[in-house]
Amino acid sequence: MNNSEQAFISAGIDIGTTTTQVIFSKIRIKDTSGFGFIPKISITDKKIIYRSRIHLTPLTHENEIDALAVKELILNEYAKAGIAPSDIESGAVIITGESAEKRNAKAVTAAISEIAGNFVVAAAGGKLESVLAGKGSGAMTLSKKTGKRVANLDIGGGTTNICLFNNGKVEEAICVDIGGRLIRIDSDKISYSSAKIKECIKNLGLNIKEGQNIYNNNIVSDLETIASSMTSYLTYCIDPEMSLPKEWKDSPNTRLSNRPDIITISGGVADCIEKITSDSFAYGDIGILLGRKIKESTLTNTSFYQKSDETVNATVIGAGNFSFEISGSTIDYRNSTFPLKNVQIIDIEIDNTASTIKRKIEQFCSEYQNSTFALAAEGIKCPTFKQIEETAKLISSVFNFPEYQNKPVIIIIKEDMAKAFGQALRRKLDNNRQVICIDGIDCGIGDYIDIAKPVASGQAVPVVVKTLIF
Amino acid sequence: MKDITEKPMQQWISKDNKAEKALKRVKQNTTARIGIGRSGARYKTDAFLRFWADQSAASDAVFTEVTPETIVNLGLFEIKTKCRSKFEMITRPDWGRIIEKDQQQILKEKCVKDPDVQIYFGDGLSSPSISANAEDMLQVLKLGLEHEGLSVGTPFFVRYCRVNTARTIGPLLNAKVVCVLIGERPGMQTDESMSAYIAYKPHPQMLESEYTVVSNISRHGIAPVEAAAHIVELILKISKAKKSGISL
Repeated sequence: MNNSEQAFISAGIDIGTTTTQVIFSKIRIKDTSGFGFIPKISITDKKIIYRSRIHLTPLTHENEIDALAVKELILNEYAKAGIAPSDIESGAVIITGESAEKRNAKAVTAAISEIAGNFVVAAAGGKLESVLAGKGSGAMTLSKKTGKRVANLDIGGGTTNICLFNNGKVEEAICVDIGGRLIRIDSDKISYSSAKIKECIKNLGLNIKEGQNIYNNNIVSDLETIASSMTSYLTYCIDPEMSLPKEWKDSPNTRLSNRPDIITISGGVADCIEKITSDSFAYGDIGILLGRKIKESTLTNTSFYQKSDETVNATVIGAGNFSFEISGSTIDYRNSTFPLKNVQIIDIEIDNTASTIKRKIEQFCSEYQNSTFALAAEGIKCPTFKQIEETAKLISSVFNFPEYQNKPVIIIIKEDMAKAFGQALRRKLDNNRQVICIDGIDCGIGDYIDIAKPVASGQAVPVVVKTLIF
Repeated sequence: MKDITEKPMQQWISKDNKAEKALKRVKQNTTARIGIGRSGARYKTDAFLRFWADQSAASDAVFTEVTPETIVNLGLFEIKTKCRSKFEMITRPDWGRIIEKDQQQILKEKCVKDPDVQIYFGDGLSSPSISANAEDMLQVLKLGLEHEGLSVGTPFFVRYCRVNTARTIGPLLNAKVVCVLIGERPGMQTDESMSAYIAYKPHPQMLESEYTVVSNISRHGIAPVEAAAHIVELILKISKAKKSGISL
């Protein structure tokens, strides 16, 4: 019965198309169960203790992130915050949107996870970003509080990440190529336009080309037309009733299938919605124009719209504060070293036969050779002893096959049964076998998870689920 | 006949409630009987019947007897305290702690002496808790403890049992750790809850604060198998620390 509060530090690093940010948070956890109850370790407080300035993402030339400069920048922020990489126990590095597609994104991720501490996970991927931005913006909390469907649009430089929450739970997440920096302007000249925006320009029959001076030939008004077209496209993405604007006919057909009750907007462009500036191109892009068009549109001009708690910081806060969850507090593990990184999930059902499970593992091993895997199952609500024993017998029989003798036994269950199941498994396996059995975590096919060092006197573990299934 | 207590109260919503969706969500946060409707200042008939039904189940849980078949099916044998009936057990809490000489003799004859852990069950204030939880818990406890190298004594059942029977039974069998699994005073949510009271070397002068307690064990609370697995670990900790209760 350890009732004392513990804290650990989590980092969020967001390397976006336009900006790079770092935050550090102090996460407090505590056993919130009462006397005589089984422990329940919960997060009691998340407090951002340091926010970096918003840096422009260093780029070497158009298509590459300057990995060294980014690393330098992040190390500088650690120093300013007075935090050593080894102090960090959880969090996420997110390379977002267009940046993630740049050729050296992988190298950057590697360079950064090396310095970012024990347990910072490197992740990218549109859906995960959308979820993190949605959580960081406050949309999830708003949805939980009101019990309504809340969609958050995180409109950045290269992409817009949309996440729909229903009653506080993620329902849908999508990512579309709309952002404030798809067209850039340098000394009054158009210096860059993305491939997708070029298509749209063509479809609209506009005359915008790189190198043109924006103050000649009504280019500003053409840019405004594009900004409104982008706004219509965003509206189409969240409104199942609307039809696709024809200039976007070649875009992938990703949109929400449920209509939100409330809309919030975060990301850099969200700041341009409220801001009134005389210089429309102060940031050297069309972000301000896009913000203005959104302000005039049905996205914000309805009773559905609510101002977001966080704007430009939403993704980085999501990465720092919402990328992990705490497992159930009755779990079982032996002979293990933590953290465990990039464990791949093999989805099973509790009532699968041994041969089915073996076939699934074989399939996995032929594809990924030596990757670490975990078996994940929904589990049984309030199982009987017999169910626990039979399932443990089955799973242990699979892991006792000679070809899997050296594999760690990692089991992830959603329902609260991991301690009983872990103990039953261990009784059927060699005493030196590495066994980890945790519950309270929902994951599925295609997910990767990281398991951090146990917290709260070893009673629970923080877990990061890295890709998401809906 | 329809069992009107079949649906858990948290899912129970008055037929004429107009905000069903919102109410369902709110009800997830509390076990209180909210959103049950009213007629003037009074309960509706169905809400009132449900209240009575739950109240009666709680009352029955206290006053019914654990059947001898239940005990046999669990592979246990039975002794009883000084009380001669449920009524006496309620009115004379002191008698519910006393195990008379003839019953002590049965224990001495039938039980393994000097176990690391002695587990026994008591009806306490809920008889249904025995049939609902005992089988799953006993097996997880026994296998779990033995796997950790602890010897487990012969389990049995005590009729008209109070927790403090442990003060007599512990020294009698010379057990290092005693774990009493006893029916909890039923509430309006469930009549099947069980508690575990665990003590290191209990003795007649021990304090109440020397018990380590795990409560709310039932399919509506902490699943019996998971609770038992947790208790295995608690008992390990208690045997190593040689103490239990708040000083642990």
